[in-house]
Amino acid sequence: MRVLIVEDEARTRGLLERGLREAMFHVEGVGDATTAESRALAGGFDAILLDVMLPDHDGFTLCRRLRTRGIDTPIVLLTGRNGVSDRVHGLNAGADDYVAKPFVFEELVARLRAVMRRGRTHHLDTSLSFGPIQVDEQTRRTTVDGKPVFLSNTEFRLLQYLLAHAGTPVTREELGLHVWDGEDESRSNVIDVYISYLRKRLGAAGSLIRTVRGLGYTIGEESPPRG
Amino acid sequence: MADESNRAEALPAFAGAVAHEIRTPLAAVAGEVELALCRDRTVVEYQEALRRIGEGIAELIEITGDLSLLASDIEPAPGPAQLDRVLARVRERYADSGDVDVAAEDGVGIAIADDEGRLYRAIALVVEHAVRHRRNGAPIALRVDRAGPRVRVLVEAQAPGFWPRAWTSLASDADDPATPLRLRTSRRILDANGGALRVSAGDGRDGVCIELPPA
Repeated sequence: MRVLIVEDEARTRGLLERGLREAMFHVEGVGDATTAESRALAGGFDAILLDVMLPDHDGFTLCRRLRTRGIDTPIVLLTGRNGVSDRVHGLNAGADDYVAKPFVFEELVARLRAVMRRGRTHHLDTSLSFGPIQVDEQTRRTTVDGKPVFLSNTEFRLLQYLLAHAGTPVTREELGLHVWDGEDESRSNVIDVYISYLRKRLGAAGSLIRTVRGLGYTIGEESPPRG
Repeated sequence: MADESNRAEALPAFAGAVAHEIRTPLAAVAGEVELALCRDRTVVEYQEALRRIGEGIAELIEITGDLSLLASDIEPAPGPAQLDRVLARVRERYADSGDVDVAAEDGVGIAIADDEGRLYRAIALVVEHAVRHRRNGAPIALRVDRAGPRVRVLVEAQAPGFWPRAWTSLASDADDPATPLRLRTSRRILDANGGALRVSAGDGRDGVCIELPPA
């Protein structure tokens, strides 16, 4: 999952980048609203963590501009201003959640995951699942039919992305961007190799990961035969 | 009565601005502690975390010092302060980041009518504001210039310069609650000894000018 961090204070930005990386997010940090807007418009983020006090425009204005321009990426406002009017202003500007400084990291991560989940149509509970496969994003525990399966970080991120888009084919480019942090893996066989590892780790449930010829992969049931 | 009423009206805005200034470094310190303790770390990682926590605490101490200054009537301090020593401290503060360029020979032989520690703080606050409000990490440069009887320290950003609203608050009164705490404190220190903080507009440069009274 990719998060765009918009925070002008370098020390706080560095802390957020390190903390979210440890929580298994891919992150990109920027320090002003102008750069943030162009990065958000370019797409490819699953959430935006947005500070309110920025040197060029405030976070409320940026939030409203992004929504006006059709960007529906979940936005969590992060700010030292914690009055009721500030929170209401932020939510009315199109933010999905609001976290006040000083924050508890664990809570910030949980809120980010929550807004990302709300952005998906298939999963309303706190975990991702399809058929016998279940992933707890917080504890990073993966189970098949209730039995634990041990995955590497890359395998976990790959399964997490496929489950988040269960039933929908995801392209190799998307996987390259969201699982390998934008490195150009789409043309190499690295994705195929990891899909193969993942299928083996999942045992019989691995067959739920299906190749979509010429496009990428999906996790879902086999289409019933016609006729 | 009118003054008292104005002060009472300004207090909530000022308190809100101060709360925001304190919350940011406080969040960084609390976050560093939480992150350091969330799993086992190597000795080097703990040392790095402690260093960053120390930096955050130092910033909080500086902010409380600034608030103490703002809470008092700042008395004039004739000094003298040696400008080259003050600028050397600014250079040292940013030595690791390379964000700020201060020529080594700048300020040599110039004595300023101010307390050295206070003058350093006044300049450092402006430089910190400049660093935070430059576009795309534009390098900041300090240079000393003599203008008539006054000494000026110019704080400038190379292209693409500062964000347009970086210095707009300098157009208002020093006690305007909308003025960022850093600039407000710096102005109060400079004003106490007959100095000033102005936008250096109209000369083709992008930045501010710190005017200092020679000793």
